[in-house]
Amino acid sequence: MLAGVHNSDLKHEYVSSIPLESPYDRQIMKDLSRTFPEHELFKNDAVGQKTLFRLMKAYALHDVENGYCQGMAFVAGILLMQMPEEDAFSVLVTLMDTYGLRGLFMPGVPLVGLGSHQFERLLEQHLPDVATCCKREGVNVSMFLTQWLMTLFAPSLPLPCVFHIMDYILAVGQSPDLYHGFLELFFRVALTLLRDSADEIVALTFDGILMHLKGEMKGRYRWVNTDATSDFNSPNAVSQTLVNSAIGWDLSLSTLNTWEKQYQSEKDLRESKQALIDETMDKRRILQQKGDQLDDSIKTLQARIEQDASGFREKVEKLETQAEEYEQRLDRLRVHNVVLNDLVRIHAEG
Amino acid sequence: MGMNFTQATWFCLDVIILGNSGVGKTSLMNQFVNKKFSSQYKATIGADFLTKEVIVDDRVVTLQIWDTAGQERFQSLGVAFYRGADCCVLCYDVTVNKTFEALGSWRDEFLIQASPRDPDNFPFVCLGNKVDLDQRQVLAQDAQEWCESKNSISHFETSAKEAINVEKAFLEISRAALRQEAEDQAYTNDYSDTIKINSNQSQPQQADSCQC
Repeated sequence: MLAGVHNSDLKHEYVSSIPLESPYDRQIMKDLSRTFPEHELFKNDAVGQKTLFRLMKAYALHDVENGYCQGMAFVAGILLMQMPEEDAFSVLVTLMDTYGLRGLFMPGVPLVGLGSHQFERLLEQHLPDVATCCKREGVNVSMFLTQWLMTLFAPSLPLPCVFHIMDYILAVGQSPDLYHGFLELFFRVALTLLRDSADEIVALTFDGILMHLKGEMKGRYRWVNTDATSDFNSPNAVSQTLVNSAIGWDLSLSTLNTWEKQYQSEKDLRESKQALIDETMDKRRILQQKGDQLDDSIKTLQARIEQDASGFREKVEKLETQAEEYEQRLDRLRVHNVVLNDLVRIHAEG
Repeated sequence: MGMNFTQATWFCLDVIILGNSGVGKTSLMNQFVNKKFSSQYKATIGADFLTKEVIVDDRVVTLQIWDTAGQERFQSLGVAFYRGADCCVLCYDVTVNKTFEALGSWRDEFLIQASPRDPDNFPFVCLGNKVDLDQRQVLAQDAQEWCESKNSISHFETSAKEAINVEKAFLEISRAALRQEAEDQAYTNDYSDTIKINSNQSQPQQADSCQC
């Protein structure tokens, strides 16, 4: 079978991880009841939740750098609905490492940013009416594409379509001629979905477009099962048409690579600008601190000058009082002098 | 963000809900918008949004509420949703202390990414959810004190499940967002020579049109 199902090392690794704990156990547990909450296998503490927990934990331990990121559980859930857990583990690891899914979930979620940028350009090129309408209404591609990418359409399409897309990815997603492995296949499906809904989208406004793309559009891809014996979850004519249309797009690898280079250089520029801003902010903060310190020393100096000034004022006042006393004494001496002169005169006359 | 500005007296307000994974952001939004609670919500990947028309102080206002993914790794995706927000709702779970302790960094991260014009006065509203549960870890008083220390953020204890205080909290959120939007428009009008949107001219404080 496909995608490394028979990798016995991975199977062994999975089994031995079962009794272990990972640093992500709490986060994984929180999401168990929130992954396919309406599906038989996972709803209301069903057995699938425990399997999903073991699988996510095993992956978090396998790829310590990646760990667990929300969204992964949907991808893992799709696999668990179709195969035993040890096989699902091998396929998940292969999808992440060989098909390129890992970049979706890594810290900084790099492939989500790149994917949104690339898809915006693809829309402009292949579905210009839809692109114009999204721009007019302020719909940013990342507003719907993030969820589609990180869950491989799981909540947005009926399960037969989700399974069929997964089969399509597993069948050809390893080819070196593809743009980032699974990502090109994802773009093809996403472009098909937008082309199928183009008439609705151009007639809708901002909220309507997002509501449509995040849920309402699901109805279009539902298979009306007329044959009671056929398996509800197996591929059907609708899912087949969807995948066929996806295959039909003519995408240019070299154009995608050129756009990626532009994206990277814009990103580098943005990041170096941000680094410059951060640096400037740091400098400003240091200057602010220095300014504050200077303000403080000025205040101290002013206080000291005022203290000195009031000391001087006191001294002057004291001197003034003294001067007044001397003057009074001088006055008294003058009076004394007059009296003495009179006495001398009287004496001389007598 | 792209909205249709049909009537001159309509405001379209962007509200963003932040907080750790599993505190009930999606449930709070759905209780407010759809008046119902479900234990079957899917984990939010990226961001979801709902809109609702509300009447605040005799004005019809369209709230555009953005519900975000709580795992830290998604923060680098925030920018598209953070920019242009008129009010930021910080959520924690009263039964998990860690979710309350994280509020400071959610607030800081928002201010860095959204870079509002006047960060000190940007409106936040803080919601302590799941008061219907018994195992409380965060005291109302401690939360209240934290909110006071952050320039008097309004604080509500809510239950999305039992619809406790949800309506009241979102009315305050709408009011805060409306004030912020009106101030932003007044600022924009003050500083632009070319565009005058107001019908009653030469009154830059009365921003009466929806232009988000």
